[in-house]
Amino acid sequence: MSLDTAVPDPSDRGAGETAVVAVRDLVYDYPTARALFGVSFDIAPGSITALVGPNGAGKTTLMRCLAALETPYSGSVAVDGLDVEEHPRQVHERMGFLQDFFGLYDDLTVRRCLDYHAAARSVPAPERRAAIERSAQRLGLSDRLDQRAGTLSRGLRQRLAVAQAIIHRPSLLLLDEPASGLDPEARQDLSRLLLALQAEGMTLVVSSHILAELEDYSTHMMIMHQGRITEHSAIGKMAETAATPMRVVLAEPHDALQGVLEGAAGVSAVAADGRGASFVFTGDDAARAGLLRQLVEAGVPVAAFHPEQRSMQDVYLERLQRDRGNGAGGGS
Amino acid sequence: MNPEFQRNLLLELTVHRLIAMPLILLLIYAAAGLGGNAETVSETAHAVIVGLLVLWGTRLTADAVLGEVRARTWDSQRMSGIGPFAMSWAKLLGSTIYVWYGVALSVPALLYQWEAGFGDLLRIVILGLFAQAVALFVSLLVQRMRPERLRFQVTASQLFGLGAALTYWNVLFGRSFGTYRRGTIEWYGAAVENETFTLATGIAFLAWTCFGIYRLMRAELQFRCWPAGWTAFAAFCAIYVGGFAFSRISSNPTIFGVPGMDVISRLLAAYLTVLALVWLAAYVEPKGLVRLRRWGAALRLGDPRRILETTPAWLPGMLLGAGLGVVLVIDLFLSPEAREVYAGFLDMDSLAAFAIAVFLFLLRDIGVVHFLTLDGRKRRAHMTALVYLVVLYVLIPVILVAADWDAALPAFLPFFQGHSLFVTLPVLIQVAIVGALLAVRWRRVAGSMAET
Repeated sequence: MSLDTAVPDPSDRGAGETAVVAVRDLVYDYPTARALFGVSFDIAPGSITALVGPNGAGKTTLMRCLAALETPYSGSVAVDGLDVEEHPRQVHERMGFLQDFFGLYDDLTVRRCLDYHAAARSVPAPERRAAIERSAQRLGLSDRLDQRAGTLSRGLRQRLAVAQAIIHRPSLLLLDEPASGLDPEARQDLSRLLLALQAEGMTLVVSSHILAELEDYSTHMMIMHQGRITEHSAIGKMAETAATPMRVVLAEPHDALQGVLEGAAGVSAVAADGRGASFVFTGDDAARAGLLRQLVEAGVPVAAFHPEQRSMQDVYLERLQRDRGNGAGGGS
Repeated sequence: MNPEFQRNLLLELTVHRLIAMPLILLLIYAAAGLGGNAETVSETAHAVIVGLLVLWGTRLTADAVLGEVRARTWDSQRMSGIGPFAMSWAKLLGSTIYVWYGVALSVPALLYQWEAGFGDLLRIVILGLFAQAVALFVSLLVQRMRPERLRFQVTASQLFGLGAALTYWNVLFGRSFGTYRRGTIEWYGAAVENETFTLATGIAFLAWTCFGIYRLMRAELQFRCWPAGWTAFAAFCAIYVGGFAFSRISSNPTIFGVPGMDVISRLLAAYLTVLALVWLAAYVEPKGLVRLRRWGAALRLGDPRRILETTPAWLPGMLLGAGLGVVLVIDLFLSPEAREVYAGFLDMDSLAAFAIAVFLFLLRDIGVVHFLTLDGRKRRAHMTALVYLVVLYVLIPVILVAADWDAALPAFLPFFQGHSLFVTLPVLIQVAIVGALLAVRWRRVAGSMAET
């Protein structure tokens, strides 16, 4: 089905067979510019993938292609093994999508809105009442069922939109900026809900600019830059292999500290002060142990040796700066 | 029940509205009865029904999809499990359900003292449905031309619905047909009662409009579409119009009875009809570099199904037109007697030259529209193309005629007079120029996209 010349990573091929989402060589063109450049990736079942990237990176276009709302120039998207171009309706039955800018039927009550979406998503009539109550309860809307959607606050509208997206129990849920407009408490509730949905076996892809919130529930991070996926891996794995800011604290000042660190493998950006030094270390746990041993053997009076806390945002910003330096990286 | 239809019922038929409609209608008919007589009540009901179906109905159907787009609910409908057929009829009949409620309440008042019977009521219903369907069809076309949003999309769609209603009204009750309602019309040599024919015409075009809605809805819901629908409609129109061709000129004694004239007339009418519809399809169809590149890539791959999915809708129609043109030209040469008479009647060297010129003008126009819409940057490219074409077809010929430069007219209009070469060569040069400009722009736009 591929029409373009972009070459996917061969290592992706086997994984695509079991993935909930398998994207291959996806190219999307707008009339004035290319938005996606041969994007390829898989999304594992039961994962929560944080899709992050600067404005204009192609996140929303990618989400819309995954949701079979846009026809790409070339490449393929498969959901549960079904090609979205070949079987748009079957794919939609398996999928929920909350867009960044969504609309509601303001003149209908919350119950009617949910009932309409349940019926439109082919939930059998006898099961609809239970589906409505379940979704409303999950989103804290049980006491608002008879309220008109147009009278709901911004946060409640967001909750209703999420309830509509999950009413048919999709296996894949796409959320584009789901927390925008939510207060901190509602965001926390949303995080809990997404984790609960994951626990039930649902796979989620969440695009958001609020990285601190994504950190609460994401299992994977996918970074987009200039229409390309520049990083996609499990968050723990990413942290392990990434350059890690470290801190060594001394029991007493030691003049040789700076020199020892600068001479060690995998160490960069050393900044010594009176009580120790901060530096960036690239390497796994064994390499880190080796560095500690090297410091002790050099007579450095180490009182503490630990990684400095790095948030998802730190990792994202670091990768983004690297990608900008490299000119956006590869095509998949 | 169809969930989209049910949603429309919930929104449109509220208790307040269900009570308000009969009360207002009652007041209207009471006023008509008290101010006039029983006939006045029926005439008022007639006007109310037409007003509800045509004026209000077209507004509602024009807004049925565009309103969803505006409210950002259309994508969620596109992702629902509702199929294109169910979505189409739910939009057409669901959005206007309140209008139909008012019509149903007005029928007793209409029949109270109305000379016409149920047949005319049926015609009015078809008129209303046809207008509403056209408005919905055009709104879907507007939605498909997304890169170039019209400022008043709903109003524009409604105006097309009103135009369709006005046209069909003229066919049903207007001077050209209405005066002879009890008479007959000649169609392919057969005499058909006017009333029957106009009713059948309305039903046929209503059916085609509904089919068009269904096809566009399929495309909106991301179902695969082949370009056969518009071609089939063009073929139907060619057959339909061809039926009138000979009867229109048969009263002319110069050409009446000449062997082969009927076939040539019908072929010419069918040919011009198909080309006109091809022009329309080429103008309204979504286009641009991205779509053309997808088509080109499918051609390179040689996958027949993908080629059919990406082929522009006007192309098969153009092939049909070209086929008809070839048959017409061959028939002209095989019927020298008819050709001579035709040439004398139309005062031209060759009907074949005219047929070729029309085809070349079509090619030029398609080139102009594609040239302006290729890069997608110009927000009003379609409107710009229309303005340029009006200049070419209307303004310049008017100036030429005013300046007594009639000899230059074949460069701007398909012309019957003059030598075959003068009729075809100027437009052939234009086709070549537009083709070259299109090629240059293609390279530039494709190149700039490759750099992004």
